[in-house]
Amino acid sequence: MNMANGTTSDRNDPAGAPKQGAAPLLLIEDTPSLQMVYRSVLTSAGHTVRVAGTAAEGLAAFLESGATVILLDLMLPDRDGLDLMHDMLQIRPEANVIVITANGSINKAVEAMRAGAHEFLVKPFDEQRFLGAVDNAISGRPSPRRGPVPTRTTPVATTVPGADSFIGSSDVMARIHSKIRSVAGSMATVFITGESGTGKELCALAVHGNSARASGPFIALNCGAIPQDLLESEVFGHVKGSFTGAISDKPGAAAAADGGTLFLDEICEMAPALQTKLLRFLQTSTVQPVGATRPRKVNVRIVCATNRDPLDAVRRGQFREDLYYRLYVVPIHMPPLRDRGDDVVEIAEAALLRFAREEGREFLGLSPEVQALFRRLPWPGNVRQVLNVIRHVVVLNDGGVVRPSMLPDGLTDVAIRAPVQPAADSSTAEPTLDDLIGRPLAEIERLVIEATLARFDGSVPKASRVLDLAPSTLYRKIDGWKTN
Amino acid sequence: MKDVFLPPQLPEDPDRLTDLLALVGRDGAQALLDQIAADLHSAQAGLAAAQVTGEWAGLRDHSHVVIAVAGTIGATGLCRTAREVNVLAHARDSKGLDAVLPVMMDRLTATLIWLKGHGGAP
Repeated sequence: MNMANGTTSDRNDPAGAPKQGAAPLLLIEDTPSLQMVYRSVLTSAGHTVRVAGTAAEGLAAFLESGATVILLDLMLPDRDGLDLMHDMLQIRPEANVIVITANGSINKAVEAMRAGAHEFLVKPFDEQRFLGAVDNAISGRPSPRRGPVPTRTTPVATTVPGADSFIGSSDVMARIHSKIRSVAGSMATVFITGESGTGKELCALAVHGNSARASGPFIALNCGAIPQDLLESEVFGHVKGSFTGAISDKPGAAAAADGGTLFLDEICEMAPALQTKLLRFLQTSTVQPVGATRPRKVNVRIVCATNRDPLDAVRRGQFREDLYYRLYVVPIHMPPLRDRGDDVVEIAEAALLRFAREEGREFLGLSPEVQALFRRLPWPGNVRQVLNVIRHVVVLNDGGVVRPSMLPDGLTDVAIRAPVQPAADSSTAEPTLDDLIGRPLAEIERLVIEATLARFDGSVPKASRVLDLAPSTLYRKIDGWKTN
Repeated sequence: MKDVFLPPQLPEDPDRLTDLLALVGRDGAQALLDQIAADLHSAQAGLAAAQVTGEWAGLRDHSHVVIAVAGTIGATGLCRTAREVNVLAHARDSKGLDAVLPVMMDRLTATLIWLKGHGGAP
């Protein structure tokens, strides 16, 4: 066996003969023994493999070999693997990158998927899963260089690898899947709404992944997480020297998404000045980086999302009305978990299986008591909260059937407070408009605030965000009610 | 294959290593065992140094290698404790590391001794 880096190896026996016409696989892994193992598994399956031990070697091999399927360790000695993946996808957007890490977490997986990874493997993994991921990368998304992009056919289901939010057989999720299938094939802008943790990002990924653009880049940008003064540069790019700190040309998310999908998360948080530029971009399909003298035409599909009511943001003057109508073409509302019936149990069971595998534990499933409890809980954090609970169970317990005693402290208390059938319990039901008419405005305000706090399990930051109030204002009001 | 592929206690899931050694073939088996031992030995030295200097990045990076290599060869106990060390290093939890790191180092040493006894030398 050739163990040196930067070599090509394949197996000579007939059973594992190199696959004819297949592009070489590029394996970028810095641990020599793992290089040997992965290469052996791949060559035994008939793949030709190019191996690199550092990001620099990997990039050189990527450029030289023309590899379109890359197995990339995220932890490399000379550079972060996600940065390297970003560069490779810029150079060759049709490349399918399978990222590998030992630091398994849904956040890391989502980060990698949002950045354009084809799939995510958590070390250690078995041979079957490893080869399955490689086969999917080779055959799942046809490279433009292997021929024209085929006419889109309607997929049977909308899937996103590792996407627990999309697990569930409730009617409401069936309608979401159907809508995604219908809209994915078009160029129509999709506007996704829903509470935090309901899977808006994964919905956007599903729209992209089920579209004819699936072989193109999926570029995600959180408009609420980037300082407003940097957002224009992040979306439209800049040229070197256009402002202090612009040390090199930067293409921007809109240009990087050329041929693919641009996902703008928390779109209602975008500053008014940038909303104007986004509108112009949507109208002309051209981008003009900061400091550039001429615009550039790009072919991008826009998917955007918010956890706010976008029309309310328009009414408040926080979001341009013309931009709203330009974006709000096909709305998809991701339902909160409490409206998804038994999906919570399916999601929890799937997460238990996945996390147990990642953590090397053996869990047999959820006890009937835990299943019943999960159905009763309001889950204000939605799927993200379920995943956190299951991760907690897997990390802190050795295995077996998940019993109520294994759940995080406080979770069962929430269930005790939560009504078994909220809709039928008039004493805890939120007030309707008819209930409010005839009451003083101050009382209505208090009722609405209290109902919102109850909806978010007493979380002032979450309630204040929905109410569009500063948390300090909310605290002051609550203190005032206590005083009175 | 020799009985080198049938360890007494370590790794806990011997089939994984046996399968890997069979996969690389008789000629490659010794080289793979040597490389596994070398990688774990290197990680052991790195973890020991990082423990002394209190370097969180070193603890994260070297435990990452142990997770991957131990898991690949079926040393599930070592893999599990290395994962705990990795999580604690990410959280910069000194107290937790004081409790878990020695356990992981003991298991790592035991695995290296086993590998050396079965032909794997760093």
